[in-house]
Amino acid sequence: MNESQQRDTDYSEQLTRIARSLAAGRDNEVIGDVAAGTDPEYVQMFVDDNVQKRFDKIRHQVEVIEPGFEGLDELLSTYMDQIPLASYDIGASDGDRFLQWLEQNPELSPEQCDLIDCQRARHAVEDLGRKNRLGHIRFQQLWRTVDSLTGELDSDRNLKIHLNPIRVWTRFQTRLLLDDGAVPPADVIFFACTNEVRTAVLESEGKQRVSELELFETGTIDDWRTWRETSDHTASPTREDLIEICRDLAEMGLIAFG
Amino acid sequence: MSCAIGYAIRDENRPILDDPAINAVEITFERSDDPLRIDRYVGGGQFDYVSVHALKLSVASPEPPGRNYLDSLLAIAEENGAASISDHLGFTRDGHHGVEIGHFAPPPFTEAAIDATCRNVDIIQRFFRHRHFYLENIACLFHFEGTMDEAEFLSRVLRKSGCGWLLDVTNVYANGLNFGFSPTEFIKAVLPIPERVQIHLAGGYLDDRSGLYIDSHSQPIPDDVWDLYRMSLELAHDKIDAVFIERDQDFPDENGWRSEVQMARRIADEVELWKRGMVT
Repeated sequence: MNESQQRDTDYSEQLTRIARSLAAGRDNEVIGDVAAGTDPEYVQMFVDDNVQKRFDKIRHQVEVIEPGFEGLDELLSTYMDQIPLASYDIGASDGDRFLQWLEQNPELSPEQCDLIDCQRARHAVEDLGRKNRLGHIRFQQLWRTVDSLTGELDSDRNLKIHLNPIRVWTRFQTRLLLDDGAVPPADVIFFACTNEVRTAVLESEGKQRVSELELFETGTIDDWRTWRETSDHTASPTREDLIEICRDLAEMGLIAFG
Repeated sequence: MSCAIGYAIRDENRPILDDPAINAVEITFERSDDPLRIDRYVGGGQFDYVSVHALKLSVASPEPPGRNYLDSLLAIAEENGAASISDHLGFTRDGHHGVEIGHFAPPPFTEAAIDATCRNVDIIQRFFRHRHFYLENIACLFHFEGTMDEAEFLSRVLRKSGCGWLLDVTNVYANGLNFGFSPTEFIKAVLPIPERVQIHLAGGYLDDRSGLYIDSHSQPIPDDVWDLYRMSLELAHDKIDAVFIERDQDFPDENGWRSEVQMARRIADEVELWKRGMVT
């Protein structure tokens, strides 16, 4: 190794060591690296400020679970002590890691599990939107015209059904987050609608149709009926029944036409 | 017309972004992460100049920035018609893309740090191609042991990498107070080097307990910073592409938002006239 390579190696080791110490809040470990005459308190101020910012950010990212967790702040502090912030923390990734960390506790109540699942599903929808931004924008542009096109479903056999690509299923085990009338365990779909996350508990037929559309992808209502018969070998609902289901799903924001 | 001038976009200043004094905006990348947003982050406004300001390229790290992060920056730049990208002359993570400090720290001012930074800036500039890249001088509470001062370190990085300088006037002012050097001399020493310059302006406060000037982006821009801004324009107005005011806390009312950007515009216009010899 020549002098230049050695210098690069030393630098890499120094910065890695400093970064890991600062990320873990161990400011005392870098005192030997700071310029002569530096007040150690200034390094501590830097670390404390970063810790507080991280705390505030995660707190905001997990606000859904707050009603079910007494001592949430203490739990969060423990998590932050154990798990340093990961590189390129984007979106709610740190908050989601905190939720995964919480899930490891075997003593969580079913209600607490539902709160965590709810928050994680919201994060997952946002993450899907981030990864498939083009798909999200295209679908929402189609959905803007859904009111007028829904009225044409009876007459226009060329209209194609598009399933909202930004959707996530989860299951709630308790009534805590369910509307009156929904019975746990209930499958809940989380999806993007305009710039928000919406949720819906679908009745069994609606749930079945969405599951079919997830496999069918894109086509007309007639294509859908043909596909059902080919793949299920069962009698399809009538075209009129499917139109009615489509109207309901379109109103929710789960499908659009184009 | 003088250089492009505007705000770093915050929800709180969106209502005044149509002010006639504003023809530029800066997108703070981490704040623009609203994945379900349908419209462009800059909204419907037409701006002469848009820049994306990143926080996590960690240019002084030993390893190059991650490809996913670069792709995300490029995507927001393309979607919003940004002409440039900027980030800070510091490091935020360790050498193996493992942990994040949370905020950029200054690198040790050494030869090795210059080499690592310039290698990374080269990768960044190649990646963004025709979009110019600017490095911002940071405000810091401490420095690591090094072999040169900040002005020399910054000058050598700018000279060797050929990237633009995002001259954060308030950061120079803060470091001048906290480390006991002349902000005027610092700017005069570095400003001749880069071919392109952007400017940041903000206001912080003097912390009674530590005696440090904290660059909190929470206060009006101090008079001393306005004076340094004017001096910078006088020295290099023909290579200053854009000026952005940053505010992150204790937001002003509408008049407060408008008055600062109008002040930035007025000073730039005055310097422009003075340079043309129309004002003595």
